[in-house]
Formats: sequence, structure tokens, C-alpha cells
Amino acid sequence: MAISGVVYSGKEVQVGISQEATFGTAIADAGAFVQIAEFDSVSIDYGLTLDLTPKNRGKRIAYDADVYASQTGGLRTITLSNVVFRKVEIAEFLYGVFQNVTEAAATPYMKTFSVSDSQPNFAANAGYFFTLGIKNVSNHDEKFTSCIVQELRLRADMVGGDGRLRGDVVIISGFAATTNAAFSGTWTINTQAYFDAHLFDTKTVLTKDVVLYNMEFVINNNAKRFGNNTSGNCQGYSIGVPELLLTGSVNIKYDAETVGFLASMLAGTEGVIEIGYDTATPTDGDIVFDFNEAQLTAVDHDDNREEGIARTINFKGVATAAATPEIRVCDALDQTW
Amino acid sequence: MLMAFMILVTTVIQSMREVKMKVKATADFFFYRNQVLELPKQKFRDLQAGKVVEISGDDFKKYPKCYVEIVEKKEK
Repeated sequence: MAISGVVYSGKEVQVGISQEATFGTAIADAGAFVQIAEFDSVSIDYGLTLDLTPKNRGKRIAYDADVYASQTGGLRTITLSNVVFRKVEIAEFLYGVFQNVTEAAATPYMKTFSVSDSQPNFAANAGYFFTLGIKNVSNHDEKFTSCIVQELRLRADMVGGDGRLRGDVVIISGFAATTNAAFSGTWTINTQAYFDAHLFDTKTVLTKDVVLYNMEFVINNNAKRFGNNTSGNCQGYSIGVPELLLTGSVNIKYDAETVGFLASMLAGTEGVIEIGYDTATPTDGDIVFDFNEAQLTAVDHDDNREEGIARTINFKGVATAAATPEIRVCDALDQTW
Repeated sequence: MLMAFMILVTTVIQSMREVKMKVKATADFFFYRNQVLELPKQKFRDLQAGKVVEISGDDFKKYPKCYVEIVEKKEK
């Protein structure tokens, strides 16, 4: 028996997404995909039910005929780590996790992602769901059907890092994974602009202007699969049950403007946290994290920075009678969402 | 025989009639992408904006939950 002498590079692993129109129907191998080209790694939990426990056969080791392996009823979880986001991709992933968007009808097609008190009926093709493809080796590509985003972690480090918006995307699929796909369609690598947090013009916490060193926002919709069709695949996802969690932290300079945040946190004083490009007229390339009401949950010392004393402010987005936290993106792309 | 032919002709004529209806969007509508609904873009935008628009009966049948209010129904 001869080994194969062919070696594959990790950079040959290509990941792409493609919006589906019908829940449960994956995009064909020949279909077009948006390729996510900038990430560190992809890790996959195939959600396999695997029973290797010994049965009552009089043996003290599991017996081969008793092994049970099945994808039915399982949840596939695919995590893309350290994705560097460009304009169009971020909108796709934000829609995937919020499952609620309002898109302006004219350029720059501002998309406002916010928490809905309801959720889409996936079984009737409402909501945003997509096929995730992973190109491995010809005829051994992996395909995940009707995926949504369960958690999106967005961060930017303007001091220790390059300031570009990057993060992790946790994607789930309640459908059996395909391991023998052979993608042959067009995979387009996005060349849109990055989001550079060095250039943000709005950095306010509880109405105070802050000097921002780094930031992180986490959106988790707590999605779960529900139901089983006759193939053991899911019939939909629950979204935001019991809540869609919006949390974040900002590392900021400790000074006369920010000194009061500890007292605010201890007093349970809520307020606005707004970070991003927030030009008066929405402009292509804008992104704004607008927690129009947030509760500070922790104010941590960070006293040994080379830049001087800092504080890490942790917070959770909350709703008021008038508004909920929202994220706005302008990408000049008319998605007819 | 003649009766069967008449029924057939009537059925064909009825199936050829184009049903149009004026509708408004429900809350469900806002969870839909137009990639799924496949409406003319302007009609999709108008429905999002809360306007009454005319769509075909076939479009209505595809996702009736999207359109709560049939303002007017006519056969052409």
C-alpha cells in the first residue's frame, strides 16, 4: 500500500456562505458563494450522537455491532475564529444573529439590526439562513444547510492590534452535514473596505466622550434547533428565548470624564453607549454600535497600561419603552432585505 | 360528451383569468427577504413602507401570511 505524497496547506481551506431561499434546501455545489477569506481557523462540532457504551453481552469492552452513530436530531456548530470583517460580510453575519433588520430603500442602504419581540418563521422561509461551504479537497468538501449565526463576537484593539474590526462567528445548522460536496461555482472574495476603529468619530459612554483603547461587543441570540422532519433535520430555530443578549466591554482612559462610571455602575444608572462612525447623513462605510440604553455591569481596574491608567467598562444592552440597542451598517448594497 | 367539453372549456378559461389583489403587509412580512418573496423590488419596498400594492394571486398564495389585508381583489 502506497501513501499519498500530496500535502495540503491550511490556506487551501476555503469558507463561503450563500443565502438560501428555501429553508432546508442547500445551495447547489455549482452555486455562487461569498468567500470569507480572512480568518485564523475553523472548528466544527458535528453534533454526532455516538454511543460506545458496552451493552450486556458478557464482554468488558464495547462491541462493534452495538455502536450507535447518528446525525439525526443534532446540531452542527461551526466556529470561525478571528475573522477580519469587511463591509458586506458584517451585514450578513449581523442579520444572521439578529434575524431582524430594517434596510433603507436608497443608497447607502443603511441596515439597522435590532432585537425583535418576535422571530421569523423559518419553516415558511422567513428570516435569514444560508448554506455554509468548506472547500477541503475535491469531492470531499463540507456543506452545512440552513445555517444561522448563534453568536457574533466583534472586537477591535486600537493599541495592541491593528484597529480593524474582527471577531468570531459561531454558526449553527440543524441539518445533517454533507461531507462529499464538490463546489464548482463562483466563490467571490470580498474586496470591500475594512472597518478601522482608529477612525471612529463617536466614542461616548453615558454621554461622556472617552478615549477608547479597545472594545468588544457580543451578540448571542441563544438559538436552539427545534423539531425533526422525517430525516431527523430541524424544522426551525428559536431565537432570543428567553432573551437576545447584547453585551460589551470597552477599555478606556481613566480621567476626569470617565471617573464617575464606577459610581454609575454601583448606583445602577443606565445610559447611552455609542461607538462607531455616526455621521449625520448615513454614508457608505458607516458602522455604529448604538446601545441607546445600557447598564454598566462591571468597572475593572487596568492600572498598568503604558498609556496610563485605564478602566474596562462592561455593560449589557437593555430596552426602554422607546428603543432597543441597535447596530447600523451602511454598505451601499441593496439586498432587498 | 358536450357537457364534459363545456366543463373543460370553463375550467381552462377560469384558470387563464389573472387574479390581482391589492394588499398590505403584516408584521410577518418584515421577516422576509425579497430573495424568498421574489416580488418586483419597488413593490417589496412599498410593502415595507406600509403602502397598499397590487400583487398577483399567485404571489399571494405563496406566502399569504405576509399580507394581512386584502384591500381589493379583482379578476382580469
